[in-house]
Order: sequence, then structure tokens, then C-alpha cells
Amino acid sequence: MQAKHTSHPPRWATKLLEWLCPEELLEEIEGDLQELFEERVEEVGEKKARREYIRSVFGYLRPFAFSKTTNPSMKPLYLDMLRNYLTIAIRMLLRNKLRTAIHMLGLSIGISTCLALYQIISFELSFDQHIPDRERIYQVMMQVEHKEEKHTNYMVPGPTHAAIRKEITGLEQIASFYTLYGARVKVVAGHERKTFTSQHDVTFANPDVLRLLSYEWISGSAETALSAPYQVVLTEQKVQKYFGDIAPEKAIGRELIYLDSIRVMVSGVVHSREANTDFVFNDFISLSTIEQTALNKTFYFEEWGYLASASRAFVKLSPSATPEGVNRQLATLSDKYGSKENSFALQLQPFREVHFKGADLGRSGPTLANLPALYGLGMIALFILLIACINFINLETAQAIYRAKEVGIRKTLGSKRSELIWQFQSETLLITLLATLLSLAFAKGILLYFAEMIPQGVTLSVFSPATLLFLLSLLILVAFLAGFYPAIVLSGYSPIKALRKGVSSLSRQTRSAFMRKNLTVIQFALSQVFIFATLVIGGQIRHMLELDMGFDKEAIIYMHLPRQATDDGHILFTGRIGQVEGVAAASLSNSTPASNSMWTNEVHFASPAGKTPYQVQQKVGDSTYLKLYDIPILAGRNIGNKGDETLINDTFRKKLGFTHAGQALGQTLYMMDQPYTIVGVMADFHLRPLSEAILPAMYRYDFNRYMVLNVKLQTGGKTAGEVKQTLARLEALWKEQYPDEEFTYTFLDETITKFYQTEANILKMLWVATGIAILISCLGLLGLSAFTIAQRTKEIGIRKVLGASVSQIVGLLSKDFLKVILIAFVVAAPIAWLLLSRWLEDFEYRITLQWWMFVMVGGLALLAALLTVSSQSIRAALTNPAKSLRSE
Amino acid sequence: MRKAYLGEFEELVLLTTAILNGEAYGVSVAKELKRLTGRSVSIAAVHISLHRLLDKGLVNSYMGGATTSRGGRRKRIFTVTVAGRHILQEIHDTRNQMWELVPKTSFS
Repeated sequence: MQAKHTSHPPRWATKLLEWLCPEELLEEIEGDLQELFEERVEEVGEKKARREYIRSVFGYLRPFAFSKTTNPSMKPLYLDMLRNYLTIAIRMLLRNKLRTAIHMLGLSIGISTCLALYQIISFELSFDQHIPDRERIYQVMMQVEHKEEKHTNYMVPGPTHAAIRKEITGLEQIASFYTLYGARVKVVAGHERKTFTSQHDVTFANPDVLRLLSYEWISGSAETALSAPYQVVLTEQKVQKYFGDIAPEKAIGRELIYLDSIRVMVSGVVHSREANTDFVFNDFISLSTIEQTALNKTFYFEEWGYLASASRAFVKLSPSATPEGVNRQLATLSDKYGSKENSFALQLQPFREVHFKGADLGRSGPTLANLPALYGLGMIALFILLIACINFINLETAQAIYRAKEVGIRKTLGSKRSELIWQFQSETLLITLLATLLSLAFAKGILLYFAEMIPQGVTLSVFSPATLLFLLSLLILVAFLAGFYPAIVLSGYSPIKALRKGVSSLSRQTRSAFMRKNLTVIQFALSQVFIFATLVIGGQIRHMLELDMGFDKEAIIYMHLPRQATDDGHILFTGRIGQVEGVAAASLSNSTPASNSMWTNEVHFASPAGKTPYQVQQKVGDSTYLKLYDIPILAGRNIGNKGDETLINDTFRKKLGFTHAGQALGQTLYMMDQPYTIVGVMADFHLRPLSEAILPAMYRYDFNRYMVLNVKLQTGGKTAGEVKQTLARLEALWKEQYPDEEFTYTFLDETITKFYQTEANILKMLWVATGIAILISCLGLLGLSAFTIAQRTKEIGIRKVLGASVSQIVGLLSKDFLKVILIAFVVAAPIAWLLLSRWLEDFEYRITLQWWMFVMVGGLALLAALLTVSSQSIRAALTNPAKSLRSE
Repeated sequence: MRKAYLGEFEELVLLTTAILNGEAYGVSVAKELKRLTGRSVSIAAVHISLHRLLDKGLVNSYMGGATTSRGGRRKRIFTVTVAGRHILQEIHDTRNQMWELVPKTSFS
């Protein structure tokens, strides 16, 4: 080598040249330039030669220097290769139909679950996105502490609204709601009156409500429309409902009567809301109306000790205020108005959490999104996708030897490893793409099947940009997850080994066999956790439905009574209902024994301000109630028709410190300074869903709060037809009494079943998930066993010739797989035990995890695996050895 | 009519390729051109012209052997095709005919 060879042209210029020139011309041009450069170095020196070189390179920097289609032989290769990859991929898909079917089914189910979930989540996140300055809006919630028990309430006592307005600084808007469920509205038109019953979208509101929710005004303005009592603002939609097809402006000044007693004037009309919202209201009555009417009393609007879920407060902080600062002020406020016994803490809840916690503003509103359930659904979807990907990996690596020859030949002909990886990866991409298309149909099915538990309004909008983007990224993710490992394994074969005759030695590669086993263990462990969860949650729901609630729930129907000025009509009506043929008893009360609504009051013992008060659940009604529900009285007597008598339950009796029931009789309790004499002790019954313990409760006579009519039907020896006749008679009576009201009744046992709707939904979801998980896992096992057994055909033949029985061979073939299932069980059992015992902790009355459950789960998984494998192994064992040994 | 239009520089490059007779590649064409015409020629221009001639089918090319002096890179050797010879001949004939027609007095 000579010294002059050490000088070389500037590297960057060479790089530029490489970039400028078509690849096929690069070699000659680079060579020519190099030759010229070396010559010039000798003639004029390195420095000048480099300059000349650079100038030459820039000579190629001109448009159209070389025409694109030079020579057919110079066309880029990758297009041809891509076409070749595609051809091979399609041939592979068509040749091995079982493999194709397993992959498509597994992947598309996984993808469709994810897609359906994505639709639900994006729906849930779309709520109230139209409200401006959301990051500054908070709901005021209330933490109530009572004897180590902490409750979070998303409601505030009535006086809070005024107190916040007066005493808290740093707030831009303070929106106060007082919702009115099932209101009855009369429209006055000349002498005619139209009545609308059960309007669930009515609320009392102050002017800030409409500002905070940024309603657009058609007529009227936020300044004047809700500032005075007896005003109401309607949405455009509601105007049409009440007044027919009139111009919105024409509605101004019209009169409406709410609750038969409150006359209000329409003072404004706003545009209806189209977007998803938790604020479902259409009638906004000015909040000051409450203070001006008797509602002030019935709503306990000035009592700090009274809580109603109707009373809600939202605040918008001014830009300079911090939530911490406002929280501090709220703490001072809580200290000022809370008493020593009744301490509470007001706090801010960020607006983005409202949809998931504490948004149940109206009864007709969208069902409250359950964040844990969403997470659960998400986990399930991911697990199913994971199982599907594992399947793919298992089958592809197991079948790799079929492709070993292809890999060998490709490598011999000059394929690089990266090119082979790309080939297999693109093959996976193709399969995933097909699976994605198929999943669109599945996703539709999933959304339909779960329609009940999916919030209304979720639709499959495939062609929205966001969904397409999601699908695309999911596609790439899945293709990578599923395809990467097989591609690495396949492309790693050495061509010599792959092309040699004894190719099957490759499949015994311990590394990928080990990996396969591990992955199968994961699959079956997941499936077993699913089975276990299904078993336990199903058991818990059955347990709760069968547990004695402490009262009779069979053959009892109830109906909500319309609000009326006095209850005299109700009482008379109930008397008549009790006489109807086929009715065993009828009773008036504020609610059924167990219900979702809750009414708690502070009760003092011995003196009006005596000692610490007790939080006591209140039930009120007439004296037939206990008899109707078959709730036994342990001591004393039933209440009569006197307002100052009360019954207490056994739990309350214990809390009060009486060792036996008799001691409590004749004692006095005080509630809001009113004395009540204990005349009896009733047995405990469940007032709340069974996830909660029995709390102290009182039952007393109070005819001002009749809201529910309970009817016990005679069922003994009655046919369904006769019960129907009884119901028809009840309807006739109802129409006579309340001509404007619809006759709707509910069976109590149905309502109680509905308490566990969430759990039932989870169960339903789990059933499907378990089914899918087992299905996909078994599909994978099927493919895997078919392949392994095909490989051992000769071995089986020889064994048979040497005298092995069919059962021995089946056992031999199944043994390996059963070992995998057992290991999976060992992995799954503790995980399932941990997860489910934590889930069960939420229930006051729960089942315990039993050993037989574990046995059952293991047994089920074993059975599924055995059935799958045996279909293949039995066939292999029955094959005539002459056949399998004949050909070589 | 001629099948392809030939620019002046392209004509020179084609002629040089013919002169070099089997030894023509980027560098040699550029050098020979410089020697014969005396004007400085950029290597890039030569390459581009050669490849245009290739597109027009006036020259053929094949990759020659590699030498160490070029960093192991091969040369692309260009030869004039039959069509190329025809077109050079045609240009030459046209020029000659036109020379014949020029009156002797017009240069005085």
C-alpha cells in the first residue's frame, strides 16, 4: 500500500453524492470521481483535489439529472419482494386452513373486545365537554364523620348554598341545584289545563346554573330570568312539549303549575342540549321560589342536619383562586355550622370526576359510569387480546419447521435476516388486518349483547377519525406483539441446518419449546382466573338473593303515589285497595323496607340535646306495614296512629345499650327536638342492599310522607290469570282516584334483584370473557397438539407395533399438556384467591372461598384441555401403524 | 427526420465515445474531451450526457472489471450503437452538404 491512498475525498460530499444519485448508478459515478480525485491529488495536491471533488459532486445537484426509468433491470427490487411476500402469505393462509381459522378467530375476538371497550370509554369521557372552563369547576361534596365511619355525600344541606354565597371568597359562579324528581306539571291555557306527570328533568336553580352550564339564550337573559321567585326557564324542547308548536318567544309569560301548588311564569327559553351531559334538566325554576313557599319547610331548606340528594352545589373558581384556598375556607365554614356531634367537612370535587362519582343528578339521567367496572372491562379486553397473541406465537413457532426450508432457500439466495423478519412481520400484519376487518362485525355484536349495561348512546362509529386511528395503532401493536417473536425464531435458522434432511431436529430447539410451554401456562392461568371469578361472583349474587332479608318480599307490589297537598286521599284509597278481591293487605309508607334511597336523621337519647346523637335510618308509614312485610315484633306492641310513637330495630336497641328488648320500652328519643316514645322493638331487617350492614332504624307513624303504596297479593292457590285480574281491578281503582296518573307497579323481588345489577353485569361480562378465554386457549391447544402429534406419528406407530395399548398412547400424548395445565393452576390459584377475597370484602354478607371451588376450577380447565387434546390423540392412537410406518 | 434531437454537448460526448472505441467511461471521456476541445468539462455533465444517450439508445453500456485505484468500484464502459453511428454519420453528412453550398465569397 502506498502512502497516497490515505488521502480521501471529504466524507460528507460522498454522502451527499450517495443521496443524490440513483442507487444503480452510484458505483460507476463514485468510482469515476474517486479515480479523478486520486489523480488530482498527485497533480495539484490534496487540498485542491478535495475542492474539485466537492464542485463535481454539486454538479449532480440539478433536477432531472437522471431520468427515472433507466433500464428495466434497474427497477428497485423491494416492490417485487413485497409482491412475493404477499403471494407466499396468501398461499400459507390458504394451505393451512385450521391455522388461519384459529388465528383469525382469536385475534379478531381480541381486537373486537378492545374496540367495543374503546367506544364505551370514549363515550364516557365525552360527557360535558362543551362546558367552558371545566378545570375551574368543582362540585361541593360533604364528608360526614360519625364514630369512625366516614361517608362521602355528593349533596349539601340546604343552608350551605346561602352560606357559600355569603362567606366564601374567590368564587366566580355558584350554581345551586335542588332537583325535583317525578314532578307533576300543569299547563294553563285559558280555561283548559293539560297535565304532565312524572317529569324527571325539573330542578330549582339560581341564575348561575345557566351561566355555569353555558346555555344559549333564545329569549330572556341570565341576569333577569331566574332572579325573582316564581320564574321558570325552559329549554326549546320542553316549550314544544308543554305548549305545542309555538315560537319560543311566545312562551314567555305563560303560566305553569308545579306540584299542584306552585304557580310560575316562563321567563326565558334556552337552546336544548344535544351533547352528552349529566345535567339533563329542561325546567329551571328559580331557587328563590323555595324560600318563598312552603317548600322551605318540606325540603328542610334551613336545616344543617338534614341531607337530601336533591341538593347540589357547583362552584366555578375565579382564575386567581386555588382549590386548596377554597377548601380551607370550606373547612372553616364546616366548623362554624357543624355541631360537635354532627361534624361534617365540605370539600371540592374536581369536575372531571363528577361523571364517575356523584353525578346522579336526575333519575332519568344517564346511568352513573362505574369506573372500576370500566377498568375491569379494560383488563378483560387486554387479557383476551393477550391470550390471542400468545396463541399466535405458539402456533407460529410450533409450525416453524414447515417454513424452515423456505428460510434456508431465501438465505442461500441472499436474504438478510432483517429482510426475513420483515417478511414474517408483514405476513402477521396481513392476518391482523383481516382479523381487524372481521372484528368490526364482532364488535357490533358485543355492543348489542351488552346493550343493557352499556350506557345508552354508545354506538359503533367506525369511520370517525379517532376510531380509525385507534384501530390502526391497535393493528400495528397486535401485529408486532404477535409477530415479533415468531419472526425472530424463524429468521434465526441457519440455512445449512434448515436445508438438511433431518429438519425436524429444529423443532426440538429447547428455547422455543420452553417459551411455548410458558406461554401456554400464562394462557391457561388467565383462563382459570376467569373461571374462578365467574364462580365466586355468581355464588355471591345467588347468596345475596337467597339470604333472608328479614321481611317478606314475595308477591308484593308497590307503586309511587303522586304528590298531593294532603294525604287524606291516599289513606282512603289505600283502604279501598285493601278490600279488593285478591289483595291480602295494603299499606302506605315512605318507601319499601329495602330501597336504594336513604333517609337518616340524628336521634338523641333521653333528652333533646342528650349525649351523642345516633344516626338513625327512618322509615315511616301506617300500622299495617309490619304485618304486610311479616316483620316480627320482639317486644312491646305495634305503633298506633299516633305521631309520637316509634318502633326501633334490634340493632338500635343494642346500640342504645339495652341488654334485652323489654328494657327499651317506654324510653324517649328526641329528633329535631320532638319526643318519641319507644313502644316496641322490631326484628332486624335489611334496609339497604346486602353490601351494607344493618344500621339502627326507627319505624314510626307519619302521614305527611306517604309516597309508596305497598300491596300484598294473595298467591296461595291462585293462577296467574287470577293475579292478572286482581291487577286489573287495582288499575281501575287507581284511574278513578288519580285520573291523570299512569298506573305503574313494580314487584318488590324484582327491585331487590336490581340492587345487584352491577354485580350481575360483571357476572354476565365474565361469563362471556371466560367463554372466550377458554375458547381461544383451547383453540391454541388444539393447534399445538395437532402439530406435536403429527410429529410423533412414527413414534406412535412403533410403540403400537411393540404392543402399546390405545389408552397408553393417549396417556402418553396427553401427559405433557396436562402438566402444563397443572402448573397454570398452581399459578392461577393464589392470584384468583387474592383478587376475589378483596372483591368480597366489599360485601357485609359474603360467601367464603371454599376448597371445592379450587378443585372445580382446576377440574374444569383440565377437562377442557383433555377434551381438546384427546380429539387429536385418540385419532393418532387409533391409526393403523402400518399406515404411519409405511412411507419414509 | 432524425429519431432524436442531439444537443451540441451530447454530440461531442457521443463523438468522443466513438473515438475512445471501447475505452470510454466517465473519466476518460471527460479527459479526452478536454484534450481535444480545450474547454474545461465537468464530470457531472459528462455522466448526465452519457446516461441521456443511453436512454436514447445511441450508446450501449456494460459494467467493466474492478481495479484497486477506484476503491474497488467498477467502471461503466460505453460503446456507440448502430443508431449512434448513423446519427453521427447523418450529422456529418448534413454539415458537409451545407459546407458545399456556402459560396467562397461569403468569407471575404
